[in-house]
Amino acid sequence: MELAQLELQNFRQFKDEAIQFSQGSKKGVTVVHGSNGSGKTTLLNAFTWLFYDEVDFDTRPDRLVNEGSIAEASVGDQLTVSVRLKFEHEGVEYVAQRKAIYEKRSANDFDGEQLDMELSVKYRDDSGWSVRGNPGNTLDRIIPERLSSLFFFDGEDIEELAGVNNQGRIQESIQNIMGLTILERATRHLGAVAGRFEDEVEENASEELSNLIEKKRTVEDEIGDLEREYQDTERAKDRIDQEIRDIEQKMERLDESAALQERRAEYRETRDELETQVERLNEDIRNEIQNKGFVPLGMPLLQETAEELDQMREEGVIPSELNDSYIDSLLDAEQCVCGRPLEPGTDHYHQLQAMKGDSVQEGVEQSALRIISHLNQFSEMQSSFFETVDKIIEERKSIYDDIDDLNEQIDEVSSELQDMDKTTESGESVKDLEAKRATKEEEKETQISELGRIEQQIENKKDRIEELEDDIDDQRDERKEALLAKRRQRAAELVEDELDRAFEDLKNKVRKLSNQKIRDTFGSIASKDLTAEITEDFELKIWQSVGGERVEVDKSTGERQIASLAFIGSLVAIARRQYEADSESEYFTGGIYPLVMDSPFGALDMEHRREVSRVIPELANQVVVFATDSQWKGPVEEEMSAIVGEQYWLDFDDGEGAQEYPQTRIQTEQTAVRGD
Amino acid sequence: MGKTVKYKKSDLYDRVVDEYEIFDYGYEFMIFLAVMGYREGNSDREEYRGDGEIGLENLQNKELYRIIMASLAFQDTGDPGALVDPDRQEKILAQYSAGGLQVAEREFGQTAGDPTNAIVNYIKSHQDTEPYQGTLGEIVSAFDDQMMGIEQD
Repeated sequence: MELAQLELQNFRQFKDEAIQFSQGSKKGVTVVHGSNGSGKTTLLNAFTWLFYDEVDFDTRPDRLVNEGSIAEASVGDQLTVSVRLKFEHEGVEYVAQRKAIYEKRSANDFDGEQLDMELSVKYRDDSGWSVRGNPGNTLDRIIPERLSSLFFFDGEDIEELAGVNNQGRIQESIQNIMGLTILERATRHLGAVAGRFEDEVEENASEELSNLIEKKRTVEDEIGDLEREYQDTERAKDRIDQEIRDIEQKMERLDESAALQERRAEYRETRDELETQVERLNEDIRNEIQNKGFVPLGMPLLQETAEELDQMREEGVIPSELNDSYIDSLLDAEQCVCGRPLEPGTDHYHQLQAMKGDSVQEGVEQSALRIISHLNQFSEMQSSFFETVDKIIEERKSIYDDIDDLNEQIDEVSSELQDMDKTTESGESVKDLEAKRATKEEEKETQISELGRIEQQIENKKDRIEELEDDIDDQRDERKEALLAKRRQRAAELVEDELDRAFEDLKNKVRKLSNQKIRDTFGSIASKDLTAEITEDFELKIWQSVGGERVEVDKSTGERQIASLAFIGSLVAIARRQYEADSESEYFTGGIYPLVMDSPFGALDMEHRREVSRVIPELANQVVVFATDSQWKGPVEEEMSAIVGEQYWLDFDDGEGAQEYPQTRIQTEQTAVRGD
Repeated sequence: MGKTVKYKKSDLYDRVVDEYEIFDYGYEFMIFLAVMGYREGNSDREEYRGDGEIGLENLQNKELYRIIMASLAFQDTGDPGALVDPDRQEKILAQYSAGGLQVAEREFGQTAGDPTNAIVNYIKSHQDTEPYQGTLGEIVSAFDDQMMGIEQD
């Protein structure tokens, strides 16, 4: 998508204005300068209103119609509010327009009543202009509403992307922008198809089968409920985590409590290390169980077997004869069955050699000898198992004691903090903060066990589904129609599974690609020892290298903003590269997307502003920036001015005189700016 | 593809093998359960087949597992021929491992979380005080000597 022109009519403070966007990658930046309150955010809202009929205004959110126009209108007059956008998408020219008709109902009516609203999308092909039948869907496919805040974004809350609980949005962004949604839609569609066939099975089935299907659906619904409950609980846990971090940060600002906090952090760190050691020891125990655990339990079996074989030996049943190959193997190894050396030239050696020739098939004797020959090994394994395990358990117990001591010390720190009367800058006492922190820790523990409980319930219900599916498959007394529908249902489910696998593979491939790009982009903007990453769970994380180890950073607003910008910019860049590469991939097609950014530099320091200004235009073909003079001047201007194709100034008149109303004009020249 | 063994499986296999990785493979846990079943005198001769499936080769490639299978078959049947009868060995292994599974479900199947400690405790509670070394050592030497043709006293 490439923006060409935006026209506004009676839209808030814009009476009749237009912006021509700069196009082309060399000078792809359009800058709209405006002071606070001049209408920058209104311009951003013009996009979201046009695309999704959504606006977000702090002041008078219901008033869309231009105040001056409605004031000048007579009662009963109708006014048109309109936003019209010309753009190009995948080589096709489009004109999208949303129009709303308002009527003035009384002399003091400045909001008007909406009578009608219409969205239209026209596109031009070989035969000229045509109208899209479903304009809302067309626009939503070009830029899905859920992702609108990635492309039309407000700098003030862009950092949320790198906050907690945004995995869903990040994952969705990745798949949408990369054109993977087609696969996801296909998977969902097949799920629905399988569901319809299941309906058909149910309609034609015996009562018993029908009941089973009903039961299965009930359990599926219950799983859905539990999964939602799990997500809610997880979010609640993350919120508590954040609250705990916030409380700790407040306490760190006071010297006395900071020292105790530091001590507590050290204890916790040591405890974590000890817990890691315990886990390593547990791993050692698991290895012992795996390799030797069957031996101590198997010893009675082996002993009884050995004794009976010995009895057979005494009775002359075995050994009867040995076969040549077995004798050869013993002679070659120069070792007897019992492990004693068998030296050439000795009597034993000759006796064994002399047995050759009376060959028998591999049989009972050999098996018996094999068992006997390994008895010593079994016995040694048994002793070694107990020795090793006892030693590990002893070591582990000593570590557990140390962990208990540390827990006591951590509790003592908490008690000391809870006795402290000092007050932090925020006016809260350390005592209260620590008590609150302790309560939050308890709440967190409750949420963690709740998560475990829900997870277990989900597992149980999934097992129940499997049982019911088996029961459904076992039903034989069905009519032909039911059988056919069942087969079709299974086929749809099979294809759904296959597609789902392909989708997951592609999604991960794209995640890895995005990850690399984000790492590079973030690396070139942020401090050298910080790296950004999209984890396997689609979380956007920032890591810091501390003494060769990677630790997750508690991100500041600025860092979160940089990470989010790097993420969006990288996605746009990958989608563009994939699109331009004209790849033969059927699904991972990419696309061209603009970035429309309202005050994107707010929370950044000067150096980061410079880096963001340098990097973002390299990532997107087209960038539209709304900025105040103070945000623009300095590093941003220095980096961007060479690539700015179009510049506008929002000339805001607050209309405070009699019969005057607020209005913003979009100027191509900088005039004496009013209202700054 | 080699011959496979069908055996009775429960969630405990998933927990012990996949979730807590106490054993890398199902067949390793199966052998463990079989000796456990033998030790507890519990063999399930009715419902010993189930959803579990493993390649027989995995068991036969390990000498010590072959010995366990042969010993189980020999003890179960009292017939020395069972020492060399793979079909009987495979069936008897499945029966003892199904029996062992019942015991394991009781002993550590209900443990919440990681069952490693419960398994170790179970093994330790069956630690024999009687040293095998002496008895088994004598049997080994007796076999060795007879095989060498040395007369016993």
